[in-house]
Amino acid sequence: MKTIIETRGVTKVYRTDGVGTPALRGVDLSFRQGEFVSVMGPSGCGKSTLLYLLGLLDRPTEGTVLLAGTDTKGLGDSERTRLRRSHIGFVFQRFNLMAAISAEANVALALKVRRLPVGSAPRDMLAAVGLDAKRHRRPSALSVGEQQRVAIARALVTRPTVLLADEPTGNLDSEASDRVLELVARFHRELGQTIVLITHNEQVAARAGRLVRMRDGRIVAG
Amino acid sequence: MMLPLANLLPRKIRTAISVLAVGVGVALFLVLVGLTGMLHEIADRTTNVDADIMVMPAAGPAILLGGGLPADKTEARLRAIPGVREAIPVLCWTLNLAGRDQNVFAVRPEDWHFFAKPDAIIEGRPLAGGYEMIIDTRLQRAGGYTLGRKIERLNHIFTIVGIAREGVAGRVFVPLDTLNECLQQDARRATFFYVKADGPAAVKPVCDAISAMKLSAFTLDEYYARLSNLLGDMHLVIGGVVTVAGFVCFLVILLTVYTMVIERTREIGILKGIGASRSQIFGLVLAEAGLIAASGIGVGFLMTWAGRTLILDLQPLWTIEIPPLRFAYAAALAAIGTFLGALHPALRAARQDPVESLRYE
Repeated sequence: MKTIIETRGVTKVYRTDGVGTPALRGVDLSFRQGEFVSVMGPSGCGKSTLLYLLGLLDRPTEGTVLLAGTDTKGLGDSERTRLRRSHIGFVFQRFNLMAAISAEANVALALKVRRLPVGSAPRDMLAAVGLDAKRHRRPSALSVGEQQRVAIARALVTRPTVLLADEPTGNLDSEASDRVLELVARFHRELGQTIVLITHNEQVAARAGRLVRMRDGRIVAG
Repeated sequence: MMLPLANLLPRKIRTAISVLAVGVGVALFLVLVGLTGMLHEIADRTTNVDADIMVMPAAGPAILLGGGLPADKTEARLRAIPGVREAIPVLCWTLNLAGRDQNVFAVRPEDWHFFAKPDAIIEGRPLAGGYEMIIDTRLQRAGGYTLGRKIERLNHIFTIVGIAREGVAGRVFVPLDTLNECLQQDARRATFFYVKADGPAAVKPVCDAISAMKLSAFTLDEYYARLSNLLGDMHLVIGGVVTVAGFVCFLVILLTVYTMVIERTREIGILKGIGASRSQIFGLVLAEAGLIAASGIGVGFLMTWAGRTLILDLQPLWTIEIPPLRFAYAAALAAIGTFLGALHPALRAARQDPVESLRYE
C-alpha cells in the first residue's frame, strides 16, 4: 500500500520567553493508506504535537511533512488549508463541538466549510453512529460519549483519507470508550481510511494494527 | 440555524445591549435630522405666498417680528417703484396659543387672497375685520380649537372665524388694523412687505430699486435660502452627534466582537481543525457583527418612529421631517461603525494559531 502521510526529520521546538522547549526531535514516520496506527506515550512526549503537524495545523521547526505526496514545507496557509480539507478529518479530545448549534449542524459544518453539498449526509452519518434520534440536540444536551460520537461523525462525513484522533476516549468511561473505539474500527473496515489514534491507554492502543511508541519527542518503537 | 445567529442567541443580554447601542445611534441621528425640518417648514410656509419679493428694514433679522416699518408710507414708496404691482404689509407679533408662542401674521383682509387660494379655508370664512382670527389646521389640532371659539389675548376677545389648511404662511392671521390697535401703535406699522412684481423680468429691477431705498429686499427664493442658512450651526451639532454616535457604535461593536472572539478561541481552533480557512473565520466574525448591525439598524428605525410619535404627541406644532435618503445615511453610518469595530477582532480571529486555540482552556 502506498504511503499517504510521512514525516521526515521533523523537529518542533516551542519558544516561550526566548527559551526553546523541544517537543519533537527528528521524527521520521510514515503511514500507509488504510493503516490503523496507535501512537502511545506518556504525557508531554509530543503525541499531540505530532498529530497537529500531521494534520497541517502546525509547522515543524525543522524537517517536513508530506501529505498525499505533497511536500508541505513551502506551502502557504491557504494551500495547507486546502490539503487539510481534502484529506484530513480531526477528532479532538474534548470540548470539540460548536456549543451553539445542534449535533446535525455540527456535522453539516464540516461539509459547509469545504463548500460540499450537505443533503442528507449529516443525518445519515449521525444514524451510523447511533444518534439519529438526538440529531437536533445541542452538545450540552448530549453525554460526553455521545458528543464524541458526533465528533467522529463530523470528522468522517467528508470522507477524509486520514482520520487523526487525539485521545478520543480520554474523557470517556469504559462503556462509552468501547463504543467510540468500535465505531472507529468499524469505519476503518468499511471506509478504509488511514487512522492515527493518539492514546496513553494500552487497551485502546491494542485495537490498532500498528503501535508507535514515543518518549521525549522521539519514536522509540514502531 | 446559521452559525453566526446561533452564536449570538445564547448571549442574549450582551447581544441586546449591542443592538440597542447601534439603534440609539441610528435613532439619535434620524430624530436630530428630522427636527431640522422645523425650520424648513417655517421657510416653506413663509414663502408660500402669491408674491415675488420680501421687503424688510435694512439689515433686518431673518426671523420676523415687530413693527419696524411705517406701513402706509412704505407702501406708498414701494408702489411708486416701476414694476411693482402690489405691496402687501404684514405685521408679525407673538401670541400664546396651544401652550406656546405663535407667530401671528396681521394682514389686511383684502390681501387674504395673496396668502391662500380660495379652497384654503376649510371651515368658516376669511378675515373681514375687527377682533377676528384665522388659525391653521395644525394649531387647531394642537389646541383643540373650534370655529367660533373666543380667545382673549392682548386684552381683547378674538373670535376664530376661519380654519385654514396647514401650509399657509402663518399659523395665525388677524386683521392688520386690529393688531396695530391692540399694540397701541401711533400709526400703522408693518414688520415686512410682500411685493408682487409685474412679471418675472421685473423682479430684479424692483429688488434693486428697493435696495436703493435703504430697505432689504429678497426674492422669496433668497429668503428661503437665508432662513435655511440658519441651519448651518444646527448641521455642526448634528455632525458632532453623528460622530459621537458612530464612535459609540464602533466601540460597542469592538468590545462585543472582541469578547466573542476571546470567548470562542477554542471553537475557532476547532473550526480551523475541520477545514475552515482564514477568510471563512474572518467572514464568520464579520457576519456576527453584521447581524448585530442589521438588528441595530432595524431597532433604530423603530426607535425613530416611536421617538417621532412621542415628540409630536407632546409637541404637536413641531415638525420632524426625515427624508428617506437619511434613513440610508443612518444605516450606512451604523454599518461603517460596525465594520470598523469588528475589523480588528475578525482579523485577530482569522490569524489565530489553531494549535494555541485548541489548547486554550
